[in-house]
Amino acid sequence: VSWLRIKIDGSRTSFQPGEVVAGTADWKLDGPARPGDAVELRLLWFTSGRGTRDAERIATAEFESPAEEDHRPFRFELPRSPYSFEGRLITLTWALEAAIAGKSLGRLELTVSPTGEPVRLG
Amino acid sequence: MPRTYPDASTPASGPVALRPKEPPLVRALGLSLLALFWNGCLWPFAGQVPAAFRSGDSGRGLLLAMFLVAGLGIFLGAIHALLGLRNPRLHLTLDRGTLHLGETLEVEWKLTGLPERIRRLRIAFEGREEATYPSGRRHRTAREVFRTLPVVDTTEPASIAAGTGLVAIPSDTLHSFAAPHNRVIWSFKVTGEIRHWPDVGEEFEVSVLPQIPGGPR
Repeated sequence: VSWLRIKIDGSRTSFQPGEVVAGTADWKLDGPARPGDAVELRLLWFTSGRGTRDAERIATAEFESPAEEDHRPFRFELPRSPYSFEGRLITLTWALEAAIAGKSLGRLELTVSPTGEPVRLG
Repeated sequence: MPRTYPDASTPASGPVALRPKEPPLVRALGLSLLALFWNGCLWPFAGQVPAAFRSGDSGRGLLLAMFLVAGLGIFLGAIHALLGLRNPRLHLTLDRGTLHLGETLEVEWKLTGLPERIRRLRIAFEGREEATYPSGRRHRTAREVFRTLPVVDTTEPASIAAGTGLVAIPSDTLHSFAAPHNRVIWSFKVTGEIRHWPDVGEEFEVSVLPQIPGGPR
């Protein structure tokens, strides 16, 4: 991919649990996509820190027949939990991640919590 | 009749009796079986320790001695757990089944079976992180407490035998979280000190849910 940009309405990266995340994904691929390939935009969370990484994909938007240069709108509703948090052992991060044919194109990290900041433990 | 907690289907209203994370009988049986197995396998080789040192194989002798000492520790742990079966039993009841961040809940405790043996009772509501990671061929779990909210700390016999307390769950902290290798756990930790006898030590896990929308910040 030459470039990928995930733009969220209002240029926000902090959200309340249960809010809607909407925006557009813009990209320019190196060449035409193979027939059947789709660009996927995933809403997910993952952990980092001392423990083995855990991750969960919450929702996926599939953009079929992507043009070499294209932009598509997306809309996800965030669940009520888990909140983004930072502890001494565990950090949980929310993200939007784009991929084509299993290859990651890019990722935008989000914060999901009632205050708009990750909950700090300890 | 109070219901038992935790349970995802537990209704929000009505008192809920908590279940200890590890009932004393299960702990005592588990440790006793482990002590029998470990020591039954190793003690027949105890005579080889001095022989190993005499023959100059001190590495083998030291290794065997370490396993024997570990077996002794497990045996003492089993005795401790078996003696603890005679301890008074603590019953914890919450005023409702569903707990959210930012809420205040009422906890009721009651000791049965000679509560006067306990000289000091402490109950605290505690939040901790647990992270499991590989270490060689095994998996280890690291634990870190991030919040402790005292419920009661008393030496008064009447308050030890039974009582109620309030716990205000902060809104600026994290709800319970469970993933395969990473967890955030909320639980009531109970310690009852008994002179010249194993203490009462129990943990009661509960599930704390995210804040109710529009609730306190």
